[in-house]
Amino acid sequence: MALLCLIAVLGGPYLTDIATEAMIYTVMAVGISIFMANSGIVSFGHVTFALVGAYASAWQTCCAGMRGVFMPGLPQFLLDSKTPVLLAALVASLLASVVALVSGAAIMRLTGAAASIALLSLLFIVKTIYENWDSVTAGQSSLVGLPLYVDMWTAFGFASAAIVIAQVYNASSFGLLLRATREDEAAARASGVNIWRQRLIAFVISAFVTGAGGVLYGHYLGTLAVNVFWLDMTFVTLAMVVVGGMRSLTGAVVGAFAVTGLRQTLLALERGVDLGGVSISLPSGAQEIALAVILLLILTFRPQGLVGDNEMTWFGGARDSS
Amino acid sequence: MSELNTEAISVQFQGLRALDSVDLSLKEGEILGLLGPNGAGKTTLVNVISGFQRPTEGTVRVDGKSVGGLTPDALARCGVARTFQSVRLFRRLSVLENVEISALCHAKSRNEARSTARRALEFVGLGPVARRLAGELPYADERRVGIARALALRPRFLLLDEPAAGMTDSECRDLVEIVRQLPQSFGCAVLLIEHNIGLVMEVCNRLHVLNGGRTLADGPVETVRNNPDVIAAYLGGA
Repeated sequence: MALLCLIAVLGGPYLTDIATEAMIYTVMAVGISIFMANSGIVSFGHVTFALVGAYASAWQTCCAGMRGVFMPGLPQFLLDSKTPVLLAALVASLLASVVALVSGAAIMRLTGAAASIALLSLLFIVKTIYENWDSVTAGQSSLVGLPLYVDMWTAFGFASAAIVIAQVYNASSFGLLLRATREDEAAARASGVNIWRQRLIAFVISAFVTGAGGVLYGHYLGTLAVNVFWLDMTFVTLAMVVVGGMRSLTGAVVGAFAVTGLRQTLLALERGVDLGGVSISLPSGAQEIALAVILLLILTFRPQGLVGDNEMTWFGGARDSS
Repeated sequence: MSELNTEAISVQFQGLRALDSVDLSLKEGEILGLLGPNGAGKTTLVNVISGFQRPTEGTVRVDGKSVGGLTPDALARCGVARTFQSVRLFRRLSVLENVEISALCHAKSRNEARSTARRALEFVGLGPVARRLAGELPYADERRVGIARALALRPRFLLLDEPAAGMTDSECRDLVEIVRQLPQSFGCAVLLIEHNIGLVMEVCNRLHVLNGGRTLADGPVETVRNNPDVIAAYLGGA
């Protein structure tokens, strides 16, 4: 990843932007993967935590003197707060974890498709609340003026931290116990595993990381709107996890880069390219369609994703699973 | 002395009475064979004892205390372990991890869990394949991993659901040796569901026979074997 950053630096501002975006998505995809890869439950709802994280960071850092104008409903201590951006990011991610803890306590009792759909419902509920909670989220209009502190190296730092958190979790006994529930629920219970508790632990950690991804997203664009954190983002982030390999952390990272690269290429094509004086452009919307087609192809021909169940270690060897 | 009892257990599945007022006891140090034709309710009874199936009536007691409301994972932590007829290994995890998972339940550290798991695997003779993926093992070895996984819970009561199904004669003989040593080596009582009568006669101290959800006979091996009802259920009625 650092290598890709260096290439991006050499490649000029356009590539730098793409690399930054890829790493922001890496944070989100890794966050989703902490839960999905180990529990085997497909989450349609993790964008909720990006949403919560992004707005919580905005509450603490947004818009200088205009905060009270955009978000008059904030409590006084938030209106006055001059929280440093990184501390704000931490607090915001923790808030995402709290939302996960409360909602997960109920949702983690469910299994399989029921859990996936309940997670989607969570996104619907939280998005609707934020969209109508005008006094603290500016409702359906956008917030502008978030501090733009996210450059490529910040994103790189966050992505690295996300990967380390995921690796530590995966290597822990919690990760192992949750993978047992993924392989066989009945056998996991017979082995003394409290499925609800293991899922909840992973859910809270994964919400923390996904929340941090949302924070980065807001401070990279500088503006926030609730409807950004919706089905498009859900689809793109899920596509990343699935394309890379649903049961692998490496897969999430590879997927984030592959999908971002692909999207940007297609977006560039939508804008049009000059070939010997002839401008060729794809119809708009081609990006989403192409991504969906690729996702279908991968699900059909390589359902385990690009990297399968393999993990890359720092030493380049295959993971020693003992 | 620890003891597991079921008291008047009945299970009703819509129209079918799968178990009808079954009293069964399992005492420390013994190997109890649970016999019966297909559909007699043997697996249902194991499901009730291990918490997977809530009985319609009756209670399960461990050392006199009712464990009726406990979930399967809580029961596993309290010393009631089981294996599955269909084995149900964690196929994409290594053999060692399969056993480590249940060992984690009582271990204070990861290392302790790992060494408990290694010991359990060596006991069933699978030490050399600890690093293989569980899904790659031959069938008979899978069943032995299942037993090791249950043993790593340090059970006081171990319920084995057809551990010899699909094994060859020589694999069966190995299994007999393993099962016979369990009460001594692990201090647990064993409830053995098995169709292979030869195997049952060889390792069990006592037999409990079910037929159509009811207890048909219960007692020492020799007595039960000569019970005319049992002979009828197995030879005449089937």
